[in-house]
Amino acid sequence: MFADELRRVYRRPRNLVILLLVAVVPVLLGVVVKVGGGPRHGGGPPFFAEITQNAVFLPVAALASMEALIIPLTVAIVSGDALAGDAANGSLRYLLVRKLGRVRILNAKAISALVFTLTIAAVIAGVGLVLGFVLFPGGQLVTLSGQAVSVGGGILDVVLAMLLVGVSMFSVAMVGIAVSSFTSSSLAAASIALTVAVASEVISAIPQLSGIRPALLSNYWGSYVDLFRSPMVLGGVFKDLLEQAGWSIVFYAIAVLNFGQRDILT
Amino acid sequence: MAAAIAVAELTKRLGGSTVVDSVSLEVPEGSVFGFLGPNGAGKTTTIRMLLGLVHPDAGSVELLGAKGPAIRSILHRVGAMIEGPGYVPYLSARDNLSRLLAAEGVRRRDRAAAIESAIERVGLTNAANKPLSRYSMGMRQRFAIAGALLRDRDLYILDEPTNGLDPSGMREVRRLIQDLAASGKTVFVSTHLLSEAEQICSHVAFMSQGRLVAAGSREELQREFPTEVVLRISWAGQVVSHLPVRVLEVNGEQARVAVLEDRLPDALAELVAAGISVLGFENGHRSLEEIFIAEVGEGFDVR
Repeated sequence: MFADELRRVYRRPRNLVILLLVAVVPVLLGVVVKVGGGPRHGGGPPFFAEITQNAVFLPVAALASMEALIIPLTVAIVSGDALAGDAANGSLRYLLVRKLGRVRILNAKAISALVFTLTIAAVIAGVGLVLGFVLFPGGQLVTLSGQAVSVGGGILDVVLAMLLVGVSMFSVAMVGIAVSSFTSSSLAAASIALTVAVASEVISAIPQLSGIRPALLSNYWGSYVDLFRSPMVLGGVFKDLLEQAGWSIVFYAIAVLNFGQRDILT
Repeated sequence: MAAAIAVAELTKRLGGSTVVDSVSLEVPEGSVFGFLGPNGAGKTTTIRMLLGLVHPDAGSVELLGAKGPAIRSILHRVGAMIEGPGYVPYLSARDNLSRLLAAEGVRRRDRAAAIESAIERVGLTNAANKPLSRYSMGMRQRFAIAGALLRDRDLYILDEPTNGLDPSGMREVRRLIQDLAASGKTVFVSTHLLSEAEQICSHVAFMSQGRLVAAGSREELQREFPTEVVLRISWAGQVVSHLPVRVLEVNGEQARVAVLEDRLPDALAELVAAGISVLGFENGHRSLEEIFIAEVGEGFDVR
């Protein structure tokens, strides 16, 4: 079922357009910085100022600029469609009158959504890295802590950052899956999932609500920055992983409880 | 004969109205069971409850001897078509059928033969790699039938299988159902087309406004609704109104009237006494349509 669900997700024309559009961002960013020069040190989102210094900073800057809105948006669209899309097509009922059962079908859909989430991060990082080496110098890079790291080490950092940004979106994806189990409108499910992600970011910006910050699903989204220190500072990374795991389990449980007993009328 | 489907006191309320109202039903093994009723009678909701898509508020369902959660373990013996086709529009018929087999736990390498034979049986071989979104309505209906036929089943539950098909497509489906029945399978087919049921069903049940109004084998229904004899008589206005006949239609100077078989001698004597000529007799079988109208009434009121 998992392979067939992946085929449903990766053949969906809309999802392919999403992958294409997210690939445009690092290209745009690389070309603009190459032509116009980077911002002065300290300007722009994380790593913007470093783009011209080393190839590996273009993919990281692209991930950084997209993490707040564009990646959650695309993840919400794909995960919100997971069950609602099949419900709207009328194909969900045909899957459910077969032996596998609702939970296993839900699992296949949830895992597919997570895989696509990682794919989005991989496309951004992959395109950014290749273009980074085309436009900007390779070779040793200087970490945020001021130490030199080899190219291989730099690429490894990019891969880790990509994985971390992808995994940081798992909570959003599982919100999408959970909402998707209630509705046959993918649009509604995607909108709600995105709203949850943005609301989390907005709340974290309100000082009076700083007490609940650690519980917000977006609280440690910036933790990939710490991968570029040497030695790496992993406290934030682990907290992020824990945060994502916690919220993913909560929303997965909501999806299972609802989808497991819901009347399928479409 | 054992029952392929046994339903007792099945009830479902949706949005404040009782869509299915304590329906009890037995579908004998090997029968072609017509599940009849106008649109909105509760047929589809009943079928969804049979297959576990909708949970009943009361009552029980037994499918091929399995009850409750155990039904899932016999679903591979049931082929179903529910309320028209459902598919991923940008995937081909092959890929869509492959998904259905995946949902049955059939491994990828074991799927090809089942898919090819189902596609061939419904005549879609040449279009099997086209995305479903490019299919005509009739082809989509054929795809849905292919989904129900994917593997050899003991019970087929077909909801309005001829919807959207042209007359030759309808005939193919009727033949298919007859073939399935001939090989000993049970076919539970819902339709609002009574002529279709007349041709293929050994048993029928009528639904109306969520209730089961009549059910049984065709012979049982004929007994329950006694035979009438249809007479063609000369028409001389309402002089027949006190006679034991039911006027079916008036056509100028002639009329067709129905008489219960056991009242025939009296009726004939009285007609002759009233100076009315009997011009001919017709076959007195009550069609399903007449039984249906007698039970359900005419009109299109939807609750």
